[in-house]
Amino acid sequence: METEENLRSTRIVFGVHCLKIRHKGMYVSYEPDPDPAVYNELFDSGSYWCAQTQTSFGPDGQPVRPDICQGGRTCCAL
Amino acid sequence: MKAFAYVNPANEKEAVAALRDAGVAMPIGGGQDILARMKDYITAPDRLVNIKNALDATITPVAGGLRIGAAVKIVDLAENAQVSRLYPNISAAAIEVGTPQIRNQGTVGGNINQRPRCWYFKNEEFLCYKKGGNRCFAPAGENQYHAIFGNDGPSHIVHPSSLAVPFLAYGAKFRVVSASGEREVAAANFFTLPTLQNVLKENVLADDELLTHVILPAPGTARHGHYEVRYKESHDWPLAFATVILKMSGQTISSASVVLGAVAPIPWRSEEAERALVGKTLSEATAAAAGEAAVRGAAPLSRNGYKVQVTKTAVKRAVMRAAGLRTV
Amino acid sequence: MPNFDQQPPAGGGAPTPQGRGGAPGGAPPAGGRGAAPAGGAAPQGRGAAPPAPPSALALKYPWPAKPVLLGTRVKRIDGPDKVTGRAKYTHDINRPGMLYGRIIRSPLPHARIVSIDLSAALKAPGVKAAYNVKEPGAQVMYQGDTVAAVAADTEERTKDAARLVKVEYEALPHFANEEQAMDPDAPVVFMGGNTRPGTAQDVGDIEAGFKQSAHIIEATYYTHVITHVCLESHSIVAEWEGDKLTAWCSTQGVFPSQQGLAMGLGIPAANVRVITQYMGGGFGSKLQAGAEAVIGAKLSQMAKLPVKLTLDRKEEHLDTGNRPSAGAKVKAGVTADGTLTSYQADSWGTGGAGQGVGNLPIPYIYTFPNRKRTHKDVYINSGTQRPMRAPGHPQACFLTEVLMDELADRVKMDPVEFRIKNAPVQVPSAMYRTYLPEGAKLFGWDKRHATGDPTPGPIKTGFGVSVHTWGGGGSGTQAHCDIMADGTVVMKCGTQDIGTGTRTIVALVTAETLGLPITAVRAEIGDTNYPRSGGSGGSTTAPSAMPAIRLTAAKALEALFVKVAPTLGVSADTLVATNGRIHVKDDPTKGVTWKDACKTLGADTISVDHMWEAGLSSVNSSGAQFTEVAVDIETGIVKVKRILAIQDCGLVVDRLTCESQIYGGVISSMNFALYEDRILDRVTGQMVNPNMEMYLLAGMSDIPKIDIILKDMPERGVVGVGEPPTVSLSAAIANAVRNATGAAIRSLPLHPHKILAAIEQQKAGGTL
Repeated sequence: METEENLRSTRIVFGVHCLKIRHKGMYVSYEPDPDPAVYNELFDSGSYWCAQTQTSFGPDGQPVRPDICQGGRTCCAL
Repeated sequence: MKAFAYVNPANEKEAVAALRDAGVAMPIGGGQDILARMKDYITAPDRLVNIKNALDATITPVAGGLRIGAAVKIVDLAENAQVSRLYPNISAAAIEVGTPQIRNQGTVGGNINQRPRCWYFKNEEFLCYKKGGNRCFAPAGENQYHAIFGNDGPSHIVHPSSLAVPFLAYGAKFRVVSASGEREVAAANFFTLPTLQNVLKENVLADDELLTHVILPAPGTARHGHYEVRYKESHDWPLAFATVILKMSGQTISSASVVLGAVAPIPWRSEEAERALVGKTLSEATAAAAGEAAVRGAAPLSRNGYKVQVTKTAVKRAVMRAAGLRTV
Repeated sequence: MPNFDQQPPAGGGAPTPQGRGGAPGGAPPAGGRGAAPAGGAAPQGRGAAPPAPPSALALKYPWPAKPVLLGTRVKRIDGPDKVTGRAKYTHDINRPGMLYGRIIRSPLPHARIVSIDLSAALKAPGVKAAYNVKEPGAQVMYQGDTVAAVAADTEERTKDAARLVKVEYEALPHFANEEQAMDPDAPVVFMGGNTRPGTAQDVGDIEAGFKQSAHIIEATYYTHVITHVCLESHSIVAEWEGDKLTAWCSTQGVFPSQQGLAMGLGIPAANVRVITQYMGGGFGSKLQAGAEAVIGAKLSQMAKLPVKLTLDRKEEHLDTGNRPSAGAKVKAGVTADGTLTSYQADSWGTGGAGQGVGNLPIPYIYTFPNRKRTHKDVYINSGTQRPMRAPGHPQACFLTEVLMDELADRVKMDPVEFRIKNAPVQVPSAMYRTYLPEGAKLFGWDKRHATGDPTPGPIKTGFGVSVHTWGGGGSGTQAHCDIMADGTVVMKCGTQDIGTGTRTIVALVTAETLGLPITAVRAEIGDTNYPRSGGSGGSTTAPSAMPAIRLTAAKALEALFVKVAPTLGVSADTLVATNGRIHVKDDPTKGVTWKDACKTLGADTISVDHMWEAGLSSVNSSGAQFTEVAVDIETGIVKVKRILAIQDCGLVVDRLTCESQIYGGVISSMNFALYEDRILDRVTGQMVNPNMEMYLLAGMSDIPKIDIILKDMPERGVVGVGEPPTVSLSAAIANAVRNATGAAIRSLPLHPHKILAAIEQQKAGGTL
């Protein structure tokens, strides 16, 4: 399920980001824009949380964000 | 909140006795202030003494004036015909207090004796002078609602009572009782500017004393004006307000009483504004001059300079109301 | 390496409508792009296959041309339950032996936990469980950060016990605002730095644009942080049966909360059932289970008894999210004839501890051909942001729309005319060129005076306008319909009613499709035991759920036709359902009542599943809001006198609940403009107004008449309307204040001190 969730996100990239990162766009159902050139993640407005801690900090106590929720953190699940 | 005992005395005598028993005892009227403070762990009495059955809840004519029991509900004060006839500024202040629910529960004594609205005082994290700490957080912090007069410190609260302001302006005396007797204190002497010694309180009432009555002298023939500036219409505290009582000699103001609210740690009498009014005729120019005079000595903090303008306007418009002029 | 920046990749997609590559009709970033449904339906996200062609069922059941219920004013079917208290919100749920949970939170904005001593709390009367949420050595990053938790048999004893938990902290450096965090000499508080740049954007030729400009404005605009202030606070009632958890949650998404609880507790998602029958406001702050729900469930697991954990108002302000701040230092140009040229902005914003403001869609809506931007996310020691009603849009709208009025003044154009001139190309989802003149006419815009009310006296009045856009499309919801032999109809869908009226419109669309009165169908929602639907966010609930409901009801009806047709001696495809009867389409007399039709089922039940299909919903909408304000220039107090909101939302499902969304959005936008303000003490970093006394919200006396014009576009299908109406009023109010006073107001909230300062500055000739 986790893998599938991440594959569905247009911004969080499977294999790059931690499988536990979440944002609003992952949990609401909406149509993709037909024009990929205008892609802009509406719901990805800077609010990220960790599915495991359910807060904006990972199990290691550091912030949850795409730029840092990648390999190299002890808690990161790829 | 901390667990507490509840005492329900039937009369003054029992009430003051209950205040004196062991542990920390505090009177409760409508509870609109103290219960919130207890829930927020700002105040933690061992015992609450209910004064609603013990103290007078009537408004009685006395020597051309009125004697108002401390247990009178604010709504009853606001709607009392004698009060509005003799002391319209008191009615005007009463109807602006809190919300209908607060006015239905809150009492006259409770309004006078309520604790500061200051957000540093009201939040447990801030151990300020008024909670036994050793600093006031306002000067370096968020002081947009704090004092612009009486700012010598150590505390920079504004007095929270809306009723105290017109009571003072009308020359009220407060009857105070304790187990060892009773005394009368002029409203003008009741409220205290903070010092390091008295900063835990806002007035001269001792822990075992109760304010039982507000005694208002005959008002004589006067013109009355009250003006409150508040941000929201519903449930908000005034940014500043002014109450003005003018005695006239023909077209000339022969004496004036101007008291400001929400601007200082006590209801703030403005002798400067009074002096600016005496000997003048009623006009918008006189009102504006009184407003200017009222704020001449203001000493705002870092973020409440706007209250000087707001206060000036409140005084001007209170005078205009007294003069029967349109304010806006 | 993919681009993870807050701003969209340059060249790939601009954060503005212009990014649409010459077809700016659609929303800016709004677009409703991105992830596919959380559950059920085939993934349709970026890179996935295009949506399947419509099924035969979908072709046969478009939205009806002559609806009976759709678009009418249908009262909420659960209204009587709500006003009589029969409706049970999470806080009303009580279970046998239930305990009460409470979280011990940090009073400090940044500290290392030296020690946590639970012993006194564990010995306190009635305490059944307590544990460390964080361990000694860990850091708390904001006031209200979770430290420990306790559960006891009464609410009072729980609160007492929570105060017996002794926590020793070592205070660490903190930031109470963006200025402190951006100070180059500040210590590094956050991993990776206290600020983080977004990708720069450079489109067109910014300098050439400025050269063409007759006027250039350089100014700084700012919107502040507010919190969600849900009337129903975040809460959970957790009950375990063996290794299975039932959780009554105040959540905007039963399925997201199911996953959050499962992952937070480390148990299979299949072991978690989440129920949300009634919900009292979320505004984006309840799209995740939240630590509070996990803690409640964990306390219950430890105590082996049900636990209710309800946050109080202070916790709500501190730790259930907020709307991030947004500031921008802007340079913008306009030609003498009022054509926008260049827009340059250095923007920033904070979403609290380690979170930024994210993607700010500036310049909002209007067409600046040349754009250059930098952005900085700033981290401070406050509670972290959660999505809040149209994330990024209210901020971006304010930053742009206030500038627009200032630019219009420079070229001496009416603000409406100036907006129309620079509006994007007209498409159904971006109808500014229609809504602006229509609204202006209805509002009496011709009575607007030029900037600065010339009327004598202290009360100045002014008009303001602003426009907005949003996505709000749908996808992916599944539903299940049972038609029983006694005529009973049950529609089940795992969506939830977050106070918007979803339960009512689920019943409404079912009834419409089956030709029944709304009272003849039962809508069952808000339970993970029902078919999957997404969280209620992004204005996606109605456009996701309504097509699924429509087609699932239609599929059940078709099955009933098959049963009934032989008894009427006709073929099933000749039948229709209207007015409580099933009959031959061209011969209403040839038919049976619904009840008689269902009798043909005998011992059977029709029981079908279906899902959302494309064609019954659309993405993107537009709107305009007008307001008139009165400003007392001697006190700085602003009163909003009236409001007009024009909004499209495609096909109106229930006019009453649709309007209700707009009322709520407009009032919320007014609160953003005038009253709400999360105030952190600049020295201690602690919030001074974590209540509803000093955190101001409009009361009834502060709210003026609100006129709503709903633009029906039934041909577009359902478009969500939860977020768009809360975007633009705050900017319109600021513009009206400027129109009244002549003073430039470039930041929110519009507190008297700001108004008075702006007036003073304007008197000194300093604003333009």
